[in-house]
Amino acid sequence: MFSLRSSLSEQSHNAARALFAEIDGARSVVVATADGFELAQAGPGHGDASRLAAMVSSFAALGDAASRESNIGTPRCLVIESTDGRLLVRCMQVRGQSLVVVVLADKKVLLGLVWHQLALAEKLMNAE
Amino acid sequence: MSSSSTVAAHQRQLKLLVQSMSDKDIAKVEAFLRIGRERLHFDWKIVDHGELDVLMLGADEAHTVRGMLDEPMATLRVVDSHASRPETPSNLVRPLQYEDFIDSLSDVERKVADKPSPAPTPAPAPAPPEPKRRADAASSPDAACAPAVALPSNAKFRLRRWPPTALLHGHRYRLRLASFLSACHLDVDELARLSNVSRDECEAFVVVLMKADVLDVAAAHTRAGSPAPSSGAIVANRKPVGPPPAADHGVLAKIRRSLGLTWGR
Amino acid sequence: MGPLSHLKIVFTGTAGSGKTTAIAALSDTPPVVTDVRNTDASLGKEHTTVGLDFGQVDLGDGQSVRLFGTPGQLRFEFMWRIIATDALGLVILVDNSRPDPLDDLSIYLDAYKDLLPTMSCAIGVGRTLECPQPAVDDFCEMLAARGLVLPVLPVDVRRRDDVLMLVDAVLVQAEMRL
Repeated sequence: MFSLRSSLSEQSHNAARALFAEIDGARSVVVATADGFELAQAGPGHGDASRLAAMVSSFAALGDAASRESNIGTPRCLVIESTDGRLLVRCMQVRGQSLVVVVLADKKVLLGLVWHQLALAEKLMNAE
Repeated sequence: MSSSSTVAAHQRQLKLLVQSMSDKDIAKVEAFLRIGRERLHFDWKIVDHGELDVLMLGADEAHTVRGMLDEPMATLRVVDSHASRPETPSNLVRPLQYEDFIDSLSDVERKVADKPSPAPTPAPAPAPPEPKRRADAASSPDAACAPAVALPSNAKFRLRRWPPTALLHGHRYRLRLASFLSACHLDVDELARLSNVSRDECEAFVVVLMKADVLDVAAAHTRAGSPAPSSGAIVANRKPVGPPPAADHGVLAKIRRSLGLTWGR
Repeated sequence: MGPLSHLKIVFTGTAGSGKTTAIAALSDTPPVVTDVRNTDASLGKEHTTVGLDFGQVDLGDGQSVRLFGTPGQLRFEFMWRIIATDALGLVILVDNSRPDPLDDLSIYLDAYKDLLPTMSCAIGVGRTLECPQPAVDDFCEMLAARGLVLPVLPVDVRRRDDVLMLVDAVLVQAEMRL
């Protein structure tokens, strides 16, 4: 199990750096395991990336439970729209493992662009 | 059990033979006997031959037991859950459960206690006395059978610490009574009314707790909402509590009914 | 305590202590579980709770008691207080097979120390038959040293009756707090 994290570490770092570079308005990007361990971070962000990883994994898990309860499949994206910014979360499957990627961004960020970049990141991580 | 038969019981050994059971189940039985020592009234010993009181059998048929002349007082069959038959209450179902096992042995002890007592087995040489904590000294469930302690009149009682486990064994209401006494100062009548346990039982338990030195005793005029008692340690200042208003009881009563936690005597 | 419709009992404790099992033992409906694949080798479990467990006991008349389970690992500590806010009571489950169960309990007592003075709480110690040390009385001593008088019970959360004993202890305290 631990080898999962180490094997995905390099890919996660690459993905985080790429997302931070490509998304205009991104303050930081964190890649985490579904059980809340931080794999990679890019950008200065704010606060402790490992705490954010745990929180976002909870958020994603609750989203998954709500999706199942509502019989609408599995969640792909979640958004926390706050007064001073956004947290944009993508639930990914990378080589059969569940990951959660969160982009902390300004309010001005274009949502469509972010979703596109996150989908691209998932594709690239699976291709590596 | 009367106090004289209680004295005789502690000198007498009961023998348990375990047959056709896995090493894991045997280890469990040994652990159960160790842990249940203070709850059982007799000294139980696992034997592999000779006269025995209880046969614990992990198969359908028993093998011949060397030296056994009479039938055991009870046979406990250990069965897998899908094989258990409701009409045979002496079955124990795998995985072995501590409570079920001890209850079965307690049933045997009750049968033995009802029989005329045989000549007492010579007791083993007593161990040298060891210093014990005051809580341990009165921790035997039989402490309540000792000469009565007069409770201070018009006093209210509250636990200063949760009682040692051994004090809670032996009566199914003791946990509930202790929970009440953990929350606030109560006199015996209040404890009986709130818990729906008889006054005699409440009083006996309060005596046990007093002898174990785990109770704070306050004067009758003490408000139920007084701070928790201090025993030298820094005490968390838990919220003062008082007699509950009747209306709010309704919801908690509903919870009890829904969970099957209603109290009867 | 908040409005009656918000009645909840929270189960907390280390990962593997049986929170999900305890809630499933009581819930009238299949519990909501947020278990995901575990990547922590030290846990010895295939799955772990990262959100919360949720169950319900129907009281009739549109009322219910909600049962919540917190994730066990320390990195989810932020969830512990969120879930426990305004709870009717708290059940802390301890796994006696872990390396230092007394320390485990102290983590939760510290995490909830602001809430404990006003919240009913009971402690269930599991796996005491396989791992009799520390003894239940050792937990009582630890609580006494902290000035806490809380029910401490050996339990097997696979048995509904054992879980009910813990809830009963919580309800008794809650009744005295009303």
